[in-house]
Amino acid sequence: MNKQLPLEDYLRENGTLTYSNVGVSMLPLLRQGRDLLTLQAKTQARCAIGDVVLFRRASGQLVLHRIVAVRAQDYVLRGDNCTGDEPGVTDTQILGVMTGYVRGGRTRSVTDPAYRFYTRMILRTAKLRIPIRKALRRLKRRLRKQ
Amino acid sequence: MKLKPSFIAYDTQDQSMLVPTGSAGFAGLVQGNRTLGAILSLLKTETTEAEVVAAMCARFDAPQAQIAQDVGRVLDALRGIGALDE
Repeated sequence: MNKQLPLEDYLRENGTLTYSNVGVSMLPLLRQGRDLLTLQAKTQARCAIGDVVLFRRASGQLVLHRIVAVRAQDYVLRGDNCTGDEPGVTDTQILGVMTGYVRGGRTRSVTDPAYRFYTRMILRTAKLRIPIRKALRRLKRRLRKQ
Repeated sequence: MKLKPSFIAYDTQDQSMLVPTGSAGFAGLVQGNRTLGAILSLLKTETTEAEVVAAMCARFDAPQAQIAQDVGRVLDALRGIGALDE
């Protein structure tokens, strides 16, 4: 019960890890304090658009976001609840790929039709959703100043 | 006593886990067999150590003293990571 392993080593040793997320960037998919996610250790294979991956930023911070673009040398990532893209994430920074999540005690796979539909909607509505959210944020800021 | 809501108990096909959430104040993972899962399941609602031992005795074919010792060890470990509300 007291074996201590850094996350990278745990994933490498066990192949998978089920854990909780911190923050709101992956809402509405993952709710902090309520849902769990299962990661599979990253393999040599490249990731695909729509994959949710855990990666380590240069600062050392661990982040769970979705791949929104695959480029020759890197990936562009964005949280489902975020408006900004994060380019320049390389394969070596990615520790694991989400293969499922636990919501309300029920395990769901990323191959479930409902999840795949959700992913398609998140990706396809981004061009509409993100400008609207940014505009609403600007409006809120203006209203607060008045 | 009861499991704190900041910890989530979860069963896979072959093991049971207790995962802390962001507010748990513990960074780690508790992994165990189905016996741990049974204890965690009982701790989802308010209970006592004696009730947990009694439930485990009804469920598993082992001497009561042995079960009481095992339950005590698990509860101590859970207390150690701050997973119990008492």
